Amino acid sequence: MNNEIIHSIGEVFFIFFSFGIVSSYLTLVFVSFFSVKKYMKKDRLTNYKDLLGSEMAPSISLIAPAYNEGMTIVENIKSMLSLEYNNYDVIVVNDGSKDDTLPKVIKAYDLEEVPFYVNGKVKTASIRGIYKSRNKAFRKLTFIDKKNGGKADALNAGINVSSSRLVTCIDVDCIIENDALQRMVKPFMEDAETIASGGVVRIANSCVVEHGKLVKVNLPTNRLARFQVLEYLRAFLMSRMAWAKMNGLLLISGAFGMFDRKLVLRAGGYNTDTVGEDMELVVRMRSLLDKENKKYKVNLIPDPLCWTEGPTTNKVLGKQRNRWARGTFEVLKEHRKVFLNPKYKVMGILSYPFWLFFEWLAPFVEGFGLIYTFSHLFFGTISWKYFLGFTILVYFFSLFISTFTLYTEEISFHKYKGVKSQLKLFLAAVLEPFIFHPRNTWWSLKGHWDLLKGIKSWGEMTREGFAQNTKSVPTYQPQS
Amino acid sequence: MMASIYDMIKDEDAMIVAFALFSILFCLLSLALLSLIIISKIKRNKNESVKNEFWPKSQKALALITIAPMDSMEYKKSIFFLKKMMEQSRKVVQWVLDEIVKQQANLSGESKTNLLQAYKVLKLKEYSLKKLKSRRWNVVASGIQELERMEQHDCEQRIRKFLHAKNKDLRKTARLALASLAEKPLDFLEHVREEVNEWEQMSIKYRLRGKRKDNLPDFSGYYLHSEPSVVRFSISMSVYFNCFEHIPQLIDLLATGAEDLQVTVIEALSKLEAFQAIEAIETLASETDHQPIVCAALKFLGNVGCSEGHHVIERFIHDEDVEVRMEAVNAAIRLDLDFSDENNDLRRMYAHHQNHLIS
Repeated sequence: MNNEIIHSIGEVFFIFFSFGIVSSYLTLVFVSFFSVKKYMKKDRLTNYKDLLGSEMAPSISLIAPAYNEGMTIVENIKSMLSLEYNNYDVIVVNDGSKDDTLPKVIKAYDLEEVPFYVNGKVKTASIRGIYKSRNKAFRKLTFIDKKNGGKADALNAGINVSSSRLVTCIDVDCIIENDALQRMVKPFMEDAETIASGGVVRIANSCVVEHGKLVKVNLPTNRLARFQVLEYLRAFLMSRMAWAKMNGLLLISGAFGMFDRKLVLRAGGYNTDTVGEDMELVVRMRSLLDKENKKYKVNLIPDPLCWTEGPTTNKVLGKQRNRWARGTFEVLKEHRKVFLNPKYKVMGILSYPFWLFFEWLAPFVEGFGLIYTFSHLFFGTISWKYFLGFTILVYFFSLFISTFTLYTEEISFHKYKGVKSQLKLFLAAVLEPFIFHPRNTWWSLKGHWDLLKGIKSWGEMTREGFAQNTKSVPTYQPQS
Repeated sequence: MMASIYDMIKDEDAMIVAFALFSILFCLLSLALLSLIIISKIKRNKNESVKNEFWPKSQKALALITIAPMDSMEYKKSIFFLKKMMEQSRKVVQWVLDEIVKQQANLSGESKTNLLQAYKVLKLKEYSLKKLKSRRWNVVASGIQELERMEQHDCEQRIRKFLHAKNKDLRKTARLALASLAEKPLDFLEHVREEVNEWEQMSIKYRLRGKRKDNLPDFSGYYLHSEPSVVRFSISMSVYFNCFEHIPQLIDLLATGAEDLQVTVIEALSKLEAFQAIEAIETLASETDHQPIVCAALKFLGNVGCSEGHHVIERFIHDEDVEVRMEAVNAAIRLDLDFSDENNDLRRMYAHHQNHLIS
């Protein structure tokens, strides 16, 4: 009798979960498709050049935390200083690097220490000094040297120092498109209720980079990186674009996001106790305004504005995914009161449950589902035909979602040239459920196991570097 | 209903058939999408190769159009060549049109006149006007933009009717075009019943560069407009065109406006260096607890450069709010006042501002 009840509960859960996931993904894929199409129509009519000569352009601080980035920091700062926008400054925060980041930047940009007063609204590790350049050509640059406190702490220090209306938090080693700030600022100017805006992050492996600028887009030659191209397209162009349309976006990638500075300060800045600080900040800002019953918007720009290097080995990718899983759990746990709470509107009713069930719980359901199904197959309570039929359906459904995302990319930005590239991406979509997805699930489960063991670190990451430079140091990785 | 779904799931054979049908459906849809992707890619590549073949010749023709006199043989030959090219397809027509629109933005004098003439001779104006009849809002909007950029002032009335279009973006495009083309560029403000957002305000302002003040309306007339964004825009335009004569009306607005509007007014008065407003702003700053008003007032006092406001600055220099303190220090430095005494925090703030670390 008990076995029967458990079996029935399992079946009901299976119905709800399967129906929920299929209907959610179908909704997301169609909403994002029409949303991208609408964006493209509007974008063709927009003249961004008007903004470049306007004194109405809102002030923006580009905040880039750096930890042991000595090898590339000079070039990265140069790239950040050359963006096309007339009212911005660059704040680089040296988060207690152990390498030669500080002397290299001081020398390259002719920096001198200046007296400072920091608007210490958010507590951070102590600041050792603030530097400005003697050379007027670099007047936009502010360099903060502080004790190590982690990425979130470094970002908070930058936000404290900034006096701009908007802050853009980026990863120092990302490649930002020249017109990124013009595009990102538009939602803030079009709608005063906009509190945050995210940019689409893409994989830059195998792309041609010159002087910190992306000059040619190529499909990665590395198989893992190619799977990530597909994965990032799905995450940004399909899922997040749709959530932004429904005003339910919970995550703006730490690699590139723009925020209303005053609201960030009011919300208390980035949380230094989680590895999912990017998502946590958005959820906290939203919660704050929902509690005050104020209207707001969290936006996403579908243009590929930021390019990042994806991990190319199982070891590094595993660490990244492990951290993402821990971050997701920490944020969901921290903000559990939001779950199905109508006070938090779209976030409480739709976004949070989606993240809980289909992002966080999915690896567990998959893992447990496999064990459960195989045990039933073993005891003969499910037929092989039934099992195979269901597996094939899930496979083709996932292939459909991936192909739809590729189609959305093709009709909008078509960054990958040639039929061959498209066929390669389709092949990645065909193979992904067998090769990439199981590993992702495993890393995610391992992340939760690490969480139980109390591991809270970012993990040591290895990067190939766009100029084929290899370094093996702990460094920040974007969460997407 | 739940029971019937449960019963259906229990029926294994029915489920297997359902799984198979949906699998085939998703498989076919995936293949169809892949085909669409490949077709789109092939089309794109074909277009690219056509463009690559045609582009250098058309660039040469356009260059000749801009430099050669209109009655010269080169000019006529170039026009003839482009006409012939444009017969190939509508895509080519659009390429030529886009290129002419792009080039004329960077030209002046005779070269510009030549291009504007080519726009008409090549019947591209008719092409743009034809777009205005389309049912698709984005096509109409692109037609309006082309007419605007090619400075077709005679199309003002045709564009004006889109001020009341159903689509919001189309209405906005029409407003921007009128700001460029109309004899009285801002008379549409009277009838605006929706938000003119910051982006649109910026775009309108951009189009009004170099316009004569006497063609523009009396912006103070819109200070009591029912749409708050129009009020804010009018205030910013008063500042942009240095309308010092509007200062009394702006001071009046301080007494009637909402808090956000009061901040805008104080900022405008600050930019106009309206020393007449000192008393009103001092009073407002003393009576309010709205932080942005206090900050704007302190900025005003520092900017106007009148030391009469020193007691207000002195009062806020020890305020609890760090941003208010920062503004007070900034104002004090501008007025050459030093309240730092023994207070380390304030001394650091003084040093910070004096070094222009953060503007």
